[in-house]
Amino acid sequence: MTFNITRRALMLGSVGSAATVGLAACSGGQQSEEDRPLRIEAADTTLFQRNFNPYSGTPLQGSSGLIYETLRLSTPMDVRNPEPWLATEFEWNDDGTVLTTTLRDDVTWTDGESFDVEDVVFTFTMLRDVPATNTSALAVVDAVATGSHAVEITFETPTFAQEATVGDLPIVPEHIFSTFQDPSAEQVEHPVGTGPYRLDRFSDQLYTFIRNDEHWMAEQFEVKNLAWPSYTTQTMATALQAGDLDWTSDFIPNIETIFVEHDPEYRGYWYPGNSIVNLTFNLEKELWQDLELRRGISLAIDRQQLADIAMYGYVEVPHPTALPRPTFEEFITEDYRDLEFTVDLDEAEQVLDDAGYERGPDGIRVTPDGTPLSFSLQIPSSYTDWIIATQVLNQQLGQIGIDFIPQGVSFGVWDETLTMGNFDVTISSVVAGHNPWFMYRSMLSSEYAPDEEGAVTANFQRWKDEESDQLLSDYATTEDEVEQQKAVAGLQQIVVEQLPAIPVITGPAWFNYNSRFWTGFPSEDNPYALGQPVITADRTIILQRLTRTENDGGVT
Amino acid sequence: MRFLLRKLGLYVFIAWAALTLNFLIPRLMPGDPVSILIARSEGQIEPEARDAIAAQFGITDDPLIVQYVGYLGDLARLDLGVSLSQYPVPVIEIISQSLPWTLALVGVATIVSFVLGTGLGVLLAWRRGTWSDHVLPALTFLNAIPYFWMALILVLLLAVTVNIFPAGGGYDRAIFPELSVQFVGSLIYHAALPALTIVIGSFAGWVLQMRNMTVTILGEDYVSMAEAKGLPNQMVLFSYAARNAILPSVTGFALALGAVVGGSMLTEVIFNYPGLGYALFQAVTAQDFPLMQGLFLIISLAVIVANLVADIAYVFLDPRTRERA
Repeated sequence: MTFNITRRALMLGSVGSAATVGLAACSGGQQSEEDRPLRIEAADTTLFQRNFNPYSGTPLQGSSGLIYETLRLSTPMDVRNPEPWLATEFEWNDDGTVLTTTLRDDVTWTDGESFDVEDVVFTFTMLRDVPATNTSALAVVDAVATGSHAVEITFETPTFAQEATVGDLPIVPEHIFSTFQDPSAEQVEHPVGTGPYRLDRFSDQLYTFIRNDEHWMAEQFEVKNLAWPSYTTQTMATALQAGDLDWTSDFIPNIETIFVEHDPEYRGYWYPGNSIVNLTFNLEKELWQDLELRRGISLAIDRQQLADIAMYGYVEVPHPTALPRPTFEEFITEDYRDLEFTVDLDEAEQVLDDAGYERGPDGIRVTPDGTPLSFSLQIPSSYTDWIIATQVLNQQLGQIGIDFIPQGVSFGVWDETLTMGNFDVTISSVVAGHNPWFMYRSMLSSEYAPDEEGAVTANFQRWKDEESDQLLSDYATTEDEVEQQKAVAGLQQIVVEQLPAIPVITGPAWFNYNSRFWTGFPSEDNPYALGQPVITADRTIILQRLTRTENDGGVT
Repeated sequence: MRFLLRKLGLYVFIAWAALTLNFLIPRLMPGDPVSILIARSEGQIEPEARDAIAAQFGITDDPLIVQYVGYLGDLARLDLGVSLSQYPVPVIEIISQSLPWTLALVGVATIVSFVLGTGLGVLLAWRRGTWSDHVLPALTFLNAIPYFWMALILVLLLAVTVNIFPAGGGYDRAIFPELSVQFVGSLIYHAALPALTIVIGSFAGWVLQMRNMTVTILGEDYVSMAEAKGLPNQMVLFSYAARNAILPSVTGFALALGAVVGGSMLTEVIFNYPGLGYALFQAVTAQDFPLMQGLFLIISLAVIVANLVADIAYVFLDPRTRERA
């Protein structure tokens, strides 16, 4: 189906005979061509639940950033140059515990109230007072207005590294949210924001936003209407194929055949690396603490084959520093710039032989104390790409006498083994985050030690190393980019030389676009933001750049 | 009457058992909803947020018995809690949003299937021993086809390859609900294929049951007697044979109606139909305990009530049960 309801658009609609039904949709008579909505993929659901509260568990897509704005726009693609948004300036004190923000003065809420320091103060003190709203885990001590446009936010610990997180928080109206008994549990059906868009209409299968013409940047947003139809993972591919969506973030096997080939001139995709999938060993078990064993395993892994088979050739092989490319390419040090993982079965055999892992009579290597190197490797059976990857991986390691037998389990079971450490080997992923510090922290930091129940929330390999912790702290306690880069370089050295986990696959930020009606999406040649429509800052950055495609891509 | 009271007591006990199992099962499942949510967010949520989210969801470490008492108390107030996967939307709201879709789609399809199947069954019984018997193997085959396989094939053929029907949803995603010919048309158009598969998948069973029962009864002495009296054929068939033959089917039908609430989960998942079955599917994948509980509760209660209704209907339809009671 097509969202646009003009007669001409109907001719472009899919061949479904129900296209005529669409005529009824338009409540306001004929829409002009400029009103053609940009059709964006929302969450995987059949029926929307009406909730636009950005601080409650699952707000609908678009709440953050488009309705409730953030202080700045910061994309991982350009970590060092955040775009000022509600805040014109960010000033840190020397030790990174106090941040002074200066706010714009030409902003109003869509109910007519003007936006002021009270709203920012309220938002940050809410994080402190209602822990359930603090999903970005910022250690806010206090927020006070120090002038008519300045707010001073105090943090418990140096927060330089989380500057992007601070800038990424949706600011909510104090005059409305202060009336909620529990802002984290409030279902907001009629959102009042400052953002470039307002909620227009809502039904359980479709909701639409309309441009907020009062917005101080309204002329930057050429797209007047946004439409979020409800598709599920299963119906998404069909909708993509039919051209019913303009902007999606989905993994589609054979994207070329299913999607691009139907309209190659306007359809495309871009899958920049944005996370790394690691072969994860439980380092609390003595066996896996042996670096030689991990090194031998790493040498036998053919990552190119993994990328080709499991990821349909969508992604590059991971870099030995685990920094996803192109997202964090700029942070890779000179020394490692040209370093790549190599496959060398002979050397792998040599390393394992020297380390005392002899092959047993069945060809499987055994540890010096007689344990065979044969383990089951659990993965969520819903992750088809991981299933294929682990099968290929098992085959590759079989050549050097090691068995990691893939075993599909439910997502819940896998998640539990991972957090509780009931595994020998598994795979898990680390996400780029706003800057390399986030990623390395979730990979290496001993902050993520097991709690009283033995569960961890990140650093699943349970890497504990003073040097890593020191470097992470060095990064977090300075604003100086040179110093930060030094810390990142040190962390890279640890990942390359000590293999706390073994990077095997680059995880992409899935992004498919159809520019028949709207053009200007990021791409490999113009990587100004991550393409996924679900990222708060990047979504706003992209919407500013979209323009109407001339004559609907030639269909008139 | 005593018979009915005894039945009622039994059903109250069954309902209690269902409530209790409903409470226990999700809590004995592996995994924990908070870390699943974090893992699924693929980095959109900081791991440090675990406590914040647990606080949001009101997840407690209270002993089971304390949780159980609270659970029963909430049920009495019709409070089914708040969904985790769609926090902070109340479960009752999600259920009331999905229920109409399931009732309409599966309900109508079940009734159509029953009427069609039973009518055809009587017809085939009457025409037994003629060419019509050749239809039976085909019906048996139809009855044996795995439903999900047939539905998937139909989706592939009619929605994906040929694109005659939509591949999912309750109505066209380009329109907002309103009372108009177009909207109602869209509803029917989106329900057509799933309804068709339910009918195709289930009507053969009704046909076979009805035909075999009618044939059995047509062999009874009192039917021969009626024929000997020279009553018109139709009267013999409908007043003597079919009327009695339909009894087991009525029970089956009552149970089928009870199962409607559970929706044909398979149907809804295959067709991405926005009913209870799909909601349950999503609740299970997201480990959304409160939503799962609420859905199972509604489903089990519907089945229990349907059983009760079937029992009561039987008492009225079949004098023999009345004598025994």
